[in-house]
Amino acid sequence: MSTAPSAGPAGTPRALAPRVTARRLAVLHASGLAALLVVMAAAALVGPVRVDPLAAWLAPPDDPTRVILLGARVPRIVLAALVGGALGLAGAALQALLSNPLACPHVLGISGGAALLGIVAMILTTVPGAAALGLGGEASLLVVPAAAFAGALATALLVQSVARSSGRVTPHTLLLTGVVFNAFAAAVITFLNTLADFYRAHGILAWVVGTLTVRGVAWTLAAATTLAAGLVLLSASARDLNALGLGEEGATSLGVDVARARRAVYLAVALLVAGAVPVSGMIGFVGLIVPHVVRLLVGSDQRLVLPAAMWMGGAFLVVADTAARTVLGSTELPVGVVTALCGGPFFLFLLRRQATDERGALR
Amino acid sequence: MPDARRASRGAAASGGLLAPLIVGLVLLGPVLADAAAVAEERAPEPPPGGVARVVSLVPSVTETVFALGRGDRLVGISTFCDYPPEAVRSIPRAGSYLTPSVETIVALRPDVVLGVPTPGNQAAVEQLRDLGVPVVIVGEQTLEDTWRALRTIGRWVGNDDGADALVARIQETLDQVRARAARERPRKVLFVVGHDPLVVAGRGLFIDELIGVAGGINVGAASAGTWPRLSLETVVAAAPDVIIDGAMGSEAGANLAAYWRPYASVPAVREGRLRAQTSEALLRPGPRIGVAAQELFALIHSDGEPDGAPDGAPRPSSRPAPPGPQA
Amino acid sequence: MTGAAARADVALEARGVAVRYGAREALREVDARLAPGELLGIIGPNGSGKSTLVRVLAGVRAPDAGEVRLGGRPLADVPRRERARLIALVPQETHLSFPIQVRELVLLGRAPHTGPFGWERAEDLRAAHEAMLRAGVLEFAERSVDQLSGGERQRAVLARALAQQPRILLLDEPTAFLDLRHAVLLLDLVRDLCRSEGLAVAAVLHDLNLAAMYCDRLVLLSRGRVHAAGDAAAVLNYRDLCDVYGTELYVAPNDVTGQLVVLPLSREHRERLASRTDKAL
Repeated sequence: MSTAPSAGPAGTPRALAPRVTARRLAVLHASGLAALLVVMAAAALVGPVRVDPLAAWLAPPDDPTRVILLGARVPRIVLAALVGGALGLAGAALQALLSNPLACPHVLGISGGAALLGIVAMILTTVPGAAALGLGGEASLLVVPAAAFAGALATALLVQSVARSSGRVTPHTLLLTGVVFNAFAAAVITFLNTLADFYRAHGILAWVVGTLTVRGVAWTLAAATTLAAGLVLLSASARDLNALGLGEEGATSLGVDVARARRAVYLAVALLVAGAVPVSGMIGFVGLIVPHVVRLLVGSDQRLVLPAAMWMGGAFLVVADTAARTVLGSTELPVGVVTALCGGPFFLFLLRRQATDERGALR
Repeated sequence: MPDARRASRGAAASGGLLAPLIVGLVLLGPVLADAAAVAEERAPEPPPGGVARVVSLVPSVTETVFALGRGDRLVGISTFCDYPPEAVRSIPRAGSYLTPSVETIVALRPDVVLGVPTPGNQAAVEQLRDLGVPVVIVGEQTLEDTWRALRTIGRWVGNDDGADALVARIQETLDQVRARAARERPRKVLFVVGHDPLVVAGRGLFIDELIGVAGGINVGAASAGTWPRLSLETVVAAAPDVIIDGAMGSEAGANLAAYWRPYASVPAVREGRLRAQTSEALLRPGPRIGVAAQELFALIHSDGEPDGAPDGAPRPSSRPAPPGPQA
Repeated sequence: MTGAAARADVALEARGVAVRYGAREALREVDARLAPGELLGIIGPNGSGKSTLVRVLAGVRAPDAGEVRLGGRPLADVPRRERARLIALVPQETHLSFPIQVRELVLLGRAPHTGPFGWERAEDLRAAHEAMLRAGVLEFAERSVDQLSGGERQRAVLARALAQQPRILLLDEPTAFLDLRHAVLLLDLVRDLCRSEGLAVAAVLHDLNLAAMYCDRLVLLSRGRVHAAGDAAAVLNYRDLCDVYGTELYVAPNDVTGQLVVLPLSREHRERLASRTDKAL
């Protein structure tokens, strides 16, 4: 390898090949969507009850096979895709923002904060008298995600500020803050659980473990809306997130308003989590694993990583939920158990690898 | 708080054990305690004529003591005990059925503490026994458990004959219901105790047996576990004729219909047999089991208006407001 | 580089700059001026405030007192992105959160020129290509930055700065991790850019001999203050250097370039020198 500055074959066209253009991004989105649809279609063929999809499609509206496919299975798969997409996207954004490969909404406690306020809102919307205040029934569709959003945003800012006030934001401080907050949130949720009407106890535990819950079209649309908003916001922050790969000072010297970029990312993450948590609770590890796999596939350019993480996150959760729906026959497993089974060992592996990296200091 | 539903809470919690464990949410631990370990072993025997001071840890025991005419011997009950309504009002409370208050109970100087296995009371029970307080834990899963429990309680409160008579009376009521049910076409029944996830009554439970007595076929019995978490498509495939839904709580009616609307192929949905279950009796393995069977018969075999109670069966009593934190 | 002529008058100037880190005063009353086409060396012992001065000049750290002016405007009033199109900073070390290719790193230099979605236009690719060509990193454009040697890595980071097409280039110890050959190659390149493009360069240099050889002017910092400023002959005098660095030095012109050579002396040599001076007295 020549080291003389002027040497080398001048003008290699490969170095000139565009990295990211509108067209390349469109191709990425199209192939991501196509891959996700294939996974979803495959998932629709699998379930505790055997259904012939073609026959079910052609059957009259109240035919059981049609109801199973279109009433029970497909809405669940759509929800899994939306929630997984939101978690994958949020995880990729947080890992880029914090320069921390172990970050994800769950590990940082952001999902916990959203679940906490979401549950409080859910309980409040159903106590006697809530309806009189205009909070009951249909209004919970607005109140619960709004509370989850507030919880997610507040936690993100809290975690950030605690970690910063302890001086330099080290990855471990941040994670520790998140873990401690998670424990706190779980304690409060458990406390509420013991107070709550028994009829709601299952639902509350489902939030903690992570269970996909088809609450109805409106809730699914809400998750889709926040996902779209988060995608747009984060896509518009991708350039800044790339620059942040050089550290805060490096990004500042490239003209990035680091504080504004951070606000934009936290806002987007809070939106994504607020859409996902009311219909799925605290599903862990999707936001952790998916960005790593994505970076192996498309490199580290956030303009590609972010959308790819969304599509892959969706596909991953569809697969995980299909396992949750089917492995025990007619009895369901919470999907959070499946993702944790995949994610726990993966997390330890990453932790180990990061420790090794820090010893062998990349300069 | 209904006794029977607590077991399903334990089931849901242990199913989700792994996720919180791995993230380190150890604070969930207390909820995950294994209820089954508190068995009837080490049960002391009552003196002839029973004992004078009794603490009840659960509503079903409290009801039984009153049904045996020995309510005056109750010196402490759980915060969830609400029946008979007037009689229980003046009795001191000794903690919830999930977490009995050891100190309060000791201070009440009971001759015996009567309870059922719950996920939360195991430690308290051990502690009470270590302190020399006799604790008797009775079974409550099946009808057979219930008969045994009624007789055990009868011995402790000094009314063995009353207990035998009570059991005989309930069994007679069940026979009557069974006889009426024999004239009806059997209907497939789904008994829901929790949504998100959908938790239903499974096999090996007195509810399952009572559904059978009342001329129903419990579709939840086809799945593993006493409180299986069913997937919706399994429910659609099972096509229950009646859905008895106790999970909607106070906002039953409209929400119940909205929840089930997408599954129009289910006969219970299509033909309007969604029953909001609001009766405590249905969930308490105590003296009102006979009433519960009558209520179930009405819920299963009535058509038209939900909650209708034809044939002179008693209309289910409305459920009291959920118990709040006790001062 | 494009637009060079239009912005030829841009110069960077620090006036009475002070910076405090908590109670510690890192810079005090510092004046410095950087003209187009000039290579300014910032020298001084450890902790004298060299890196802080570069950070203040780059606008990534606001001074606590005084001001930095960019082409006659207060730097604080210049929008971030415009500033980043005019000033490029090569920090002492570049940490990368995730492994990226050299060309991705270089294209990051286009961030101040692209829209929020960061899609590169043809001119961005051209600028990145030209920067890689100049910095001699084109042949390993596809390699991951964390697989490069120290010299390659430093050139890749320089290419990233050049891709910004700045008028002012600020280098914080660019030769710190380089061997002699790579250090000289890098500084040759930088001085070429000054001469041919009119680029204004300020470089923190530890090696006083390299500073003497390459820089048009030097600023000698001592404990956060400017101890001396001017051309190498004026700044690198024996008395000032010994004072500021707090050790005995050998300073003399060399035979090849005629520029000053500064040589630190070991204790043995210092003692020998002292005894000789005594005898002479």
